[in-house]
Amino acid sequence: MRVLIVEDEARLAGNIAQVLKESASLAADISTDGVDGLHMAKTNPYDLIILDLTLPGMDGLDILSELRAMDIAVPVLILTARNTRSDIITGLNRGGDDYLTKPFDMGELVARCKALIRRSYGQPHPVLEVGKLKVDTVARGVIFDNKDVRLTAMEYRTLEYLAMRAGQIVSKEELLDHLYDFNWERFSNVTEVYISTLRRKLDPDRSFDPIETVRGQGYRLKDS
Amino acid sequence: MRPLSLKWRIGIFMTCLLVVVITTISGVAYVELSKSLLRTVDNTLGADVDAIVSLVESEDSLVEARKEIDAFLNPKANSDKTMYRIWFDGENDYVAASSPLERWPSNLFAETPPAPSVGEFEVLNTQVDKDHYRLIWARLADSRQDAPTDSVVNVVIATHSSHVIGKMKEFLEVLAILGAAVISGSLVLTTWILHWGLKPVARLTSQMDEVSGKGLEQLTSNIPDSPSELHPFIHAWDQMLERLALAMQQQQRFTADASHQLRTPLTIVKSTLQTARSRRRTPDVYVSAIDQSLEDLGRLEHLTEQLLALANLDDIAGQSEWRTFDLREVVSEVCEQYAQLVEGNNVVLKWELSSAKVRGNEDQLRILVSNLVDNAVKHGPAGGEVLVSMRCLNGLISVSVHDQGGNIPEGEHEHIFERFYRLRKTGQRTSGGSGLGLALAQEVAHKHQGRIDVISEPAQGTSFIVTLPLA
Repeated sequence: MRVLIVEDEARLAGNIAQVLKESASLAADISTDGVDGLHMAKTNPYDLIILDLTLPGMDGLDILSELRAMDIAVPVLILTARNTRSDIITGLNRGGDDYLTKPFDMGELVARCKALIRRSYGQPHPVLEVGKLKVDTVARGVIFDNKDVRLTAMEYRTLEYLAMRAGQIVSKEELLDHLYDFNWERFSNVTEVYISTLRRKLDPDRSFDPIETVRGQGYRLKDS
Repeated sequence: MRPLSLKWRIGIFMTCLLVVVITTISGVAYVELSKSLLRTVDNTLGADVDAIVSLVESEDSLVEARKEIDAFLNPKANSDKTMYRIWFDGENDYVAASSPLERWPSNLFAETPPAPSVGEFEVLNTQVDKDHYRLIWARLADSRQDAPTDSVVNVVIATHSSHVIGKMKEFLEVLAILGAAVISGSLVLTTWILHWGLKPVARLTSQMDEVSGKGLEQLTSNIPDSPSELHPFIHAWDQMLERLALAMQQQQRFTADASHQLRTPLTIVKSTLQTARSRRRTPDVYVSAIDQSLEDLGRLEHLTEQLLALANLDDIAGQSEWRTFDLREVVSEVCEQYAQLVEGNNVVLKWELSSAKVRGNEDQLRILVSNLVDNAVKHGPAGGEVLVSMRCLNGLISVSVHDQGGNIPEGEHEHIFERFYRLRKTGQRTSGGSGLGLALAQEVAHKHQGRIDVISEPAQGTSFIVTLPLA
């Protein structure tokens, strides 16, 4: 899952990105300018945008309106110091999905981000169940065939994305787009490496093989 | 005690006035009426006395005279009203009297009044049981030929006056009833008129009651058919509301801005600390988190101070604390202070000052100068030079703070003095400005009958020029 943080206070944006990475295994990009933020939001398939309203270059609400006008359905969490009721109503009515006022609690922000992402993938339950696989998105634990599976952060991030889209074919490009922020060196074979380690860790005997390779198209997490 | 309402005050006043007026008029009317009624009685009696006296004088025999008198008074005697007695001084018996004798009240002279002197007559009132009588007692020198010398004839003629008294009583009653009716009627009328007259005031009051802190601007007191006397009051009230609404709007906007501005550094500090705390980290990470937090707290502190200064500026209206001082000292103090601060910051601060006496608040002017220098130091280019200079001209002193930045677009010039206004950033991070510095500087300048101008050109740099009147 990949998040865009549009926030003019670079330090605050950095802190949010760090916490999202550390405690939610989310990839995060930062933009401290409205115009730049809108451009990034348009050109990358983000799973969530955390949007400040008071921004240099362009107002957050205008960014929101423009995104919605372009039929970009990404969930948007408005994070702002504007805290009056009318501000909240305006923010939500302009296309925001959630509203959090500054100063906020990091834990709450992370929980809201996770909830918004789950909901956008049609997964209301915090524990994703796909066949014998259980992915607990809160504790970030994975159980396969009633056995705990220990995964690295990147392995978890990959599996969680596949589990969110269980039953669908996920291309390598999609994996790259949704799992890595701009700070990562992107090699297309990096996904193949993670997929193969996931396969090994989940099913050492190769009896189930929960991750199916669809030739020429991508991967699919089997739901039975 | 609660003061009486206007309605009651005017009501009571009107009542008292009416009581006095009606009593006076009634009293005069009563006296005049009783005088005129008694005059009629007296005239009749007087004529009778005259007739009797002339009869007594003309007839030789008193017996003859009595016959004549009876004949003369007869019709009146029958009318049961007029009675008379005639006697001589020193004699007990009456010479003549109206008959029947018993009709003459025995105690008519219960107390003998002082006798009138000869040739005079006395008008008397007397009461027997419940009957009132009016009497005339005349004493005349006996002018008959055979009369002894010094013989005096007394004539008393009396008539009932009860009907007069009765009429007076009736009149008094009518007066009392009429007076009471007029007074109570006027009281009712007065209160009603006042109630009617004060209705617009009552409406205004209920409208004023609806004025709450929030809905000031919605209410311009529009009272239908209000009397013209109230118009100045309503107008003044409307204007007061307008001013109040404006002041409150400004206050609310400022509070909203201030809370927004305070919240931002607070949010950053909180997020830094929560991030550091979210998992176990190396000591270096903690130290850097603390350093960052301290830096942000410094920004918060600065902002709070500026807000406080601004609030104080609003507070201190009077010029009573103003004194005359040399602006050069203030500017030089500020420059020296900043010269130390910018040392090693790759900025050079220079100043060329001249003496200038000004009148004003020294602390406020120090804030003004230091805010301008602070801006120049922070927004000027790295390795640049900041020059502070002073110049006197035509009774004015101008202090110029010049940096080599020169990046304030023409269109922004009028906005940069607004509270919390920030320039659209061109890539670089602002160094923690509060957004209040220039607003504060301008307010101080205005308070001192001065102004701030800005000249910004990419080639020359940016100059803020404060112009103040010399003392």
